[in-house]
Amino acid sequence: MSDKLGEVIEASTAEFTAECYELYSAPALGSLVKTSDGDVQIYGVVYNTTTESMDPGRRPIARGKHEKDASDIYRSSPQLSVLFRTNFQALVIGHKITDDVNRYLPPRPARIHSFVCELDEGEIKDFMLSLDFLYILASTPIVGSNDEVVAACLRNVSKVQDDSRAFLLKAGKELAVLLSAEPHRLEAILRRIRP
Amino acid sequence: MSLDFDQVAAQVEHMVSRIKAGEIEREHNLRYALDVLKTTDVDVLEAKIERSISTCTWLVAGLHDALNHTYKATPCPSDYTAISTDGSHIDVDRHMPARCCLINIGTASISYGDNPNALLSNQPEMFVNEPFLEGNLLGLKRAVDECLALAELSQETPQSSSALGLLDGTLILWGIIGLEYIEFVQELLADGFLKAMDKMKKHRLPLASYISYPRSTDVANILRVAICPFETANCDVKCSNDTKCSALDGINDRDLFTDTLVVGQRSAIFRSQSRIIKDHYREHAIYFFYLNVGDEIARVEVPAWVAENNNLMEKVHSMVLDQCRRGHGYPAVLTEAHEQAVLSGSDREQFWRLIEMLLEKNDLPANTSAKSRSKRTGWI
Repeated sequence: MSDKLGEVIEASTAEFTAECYELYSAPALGSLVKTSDGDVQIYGVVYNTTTESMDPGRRPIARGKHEKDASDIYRSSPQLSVLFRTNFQALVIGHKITDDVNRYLPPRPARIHSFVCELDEGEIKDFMLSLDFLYILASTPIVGSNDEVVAACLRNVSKVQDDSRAFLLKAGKELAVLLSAEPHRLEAILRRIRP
Repeated sequence: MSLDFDQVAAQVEHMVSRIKAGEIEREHNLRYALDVLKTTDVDVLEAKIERSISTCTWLVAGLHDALNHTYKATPCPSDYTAISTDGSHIDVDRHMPARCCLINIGTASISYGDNPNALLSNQPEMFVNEPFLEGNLLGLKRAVDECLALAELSQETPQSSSALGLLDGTLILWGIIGLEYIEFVQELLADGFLKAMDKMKKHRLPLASYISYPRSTDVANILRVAICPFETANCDVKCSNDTKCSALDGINDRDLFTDTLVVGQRSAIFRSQSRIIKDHYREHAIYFFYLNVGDEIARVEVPAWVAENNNLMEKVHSMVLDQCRRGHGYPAVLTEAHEQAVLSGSDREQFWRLIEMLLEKNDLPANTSAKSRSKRTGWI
């Protein structure tokens, strides 16, 4: 897997958590990422990122009172870069077995230590031929707001579409059906993806 | 049952009132000690220390340069690497099914300047059925292993570059007292500690060990010799309990230098006159100085090759100070080495469970003592 960002350290059928190889190098909110369970490629949307101390018993303290810039803190205490880690969580929205792309949950979760990387442009376009995944993304309980993640995901993937406006209109119509009983949610998402 | 704090609190209150009552006398003694420190004729004192060294009942520091000189730090190099090692161990537990122990050595190497970087790691090593390896001797081996690991790590820093090697605690292996005749201890010294020191000396590593909140009295004892009314201090022969030098009771070196050093300054260098060093350390005599790091007075020990080289001494002074600044009062590199080495209660528990599990898996007896099982289950 090329350009790997990190690897899976916790997995269930519906989501997985990956630890980044580099501090603060998690993909943006709403990015599409992939990992694997052997021959099955598992697709997910990044919905949460955390950076924390490797050792739960050691909490970060304020260090920059006399520094001009926050980056100076890392220069003056280089060990900080190896004492923190950045993890991101992705909601599983589909999978690929041989050449079949499915927008529903895979038969098994990702394996621990599977590499994780971002989908390339071709893979995103391929996956976005159908927007069935929006059902999972809008309805699965997650940390934070589903609506923010839906909007971030659509904004991200629209950038690689040949006609991003048309794509967003299509996505808006799909959401209107999905959230017909929740007009406030629908309105909030539409405001966030308006071209 | 949990501790009965009602009873403890009453005893703590009693202790505090005793300390309070002694505080006025201690303050009086300290003023007297500082007066002696400032007014003593060093040349006369040096000769008196020489005469008294074998007859004193206390450990008296040797003078190296002066008694009450203070030194400012030179600017710390902006590019330097601090290396450190620290250890932790799991001792033999006779209630467990196998006679074994473990030493975990943590290492930290932190580079500052144009290419900031940090390498942190730890290396556990298990020892099985080693007849001597437990208790004090295990602690001694751990201290020697820390030195060996630091000597190894020092080889990765370019020679004569700006580097600092820092150990936690003292460079004096107090644990060997009374055990020198054991062959295992002699080997630890000759093949372990002294080889490590040789290696670091050859590499010209500015090596130091750092003692936080020291309680030693080597320098305060110099003052006792200074005020001793006899030509030669010979406590056992000439003195009863009521002696002139009891006017310095309760004063330690930290008290003296709290008053005389401003932040960043170090004291003069002193030589430890411990018998251990004379008998076993060859050319690696141990010297020390006190340093005001801002939050406290620390004792810094250095080997002879550092103490006798002004350039290395300046590096140790400025870099230890810089380490304390970066580490909020305690050397940053020591903290990281410690964090790598430390074994939590749960690590220890898991170590023994792993041994039990693998013994059982291989159909070997994995019985623990009834006492151990009783403590673990905690039934009523």
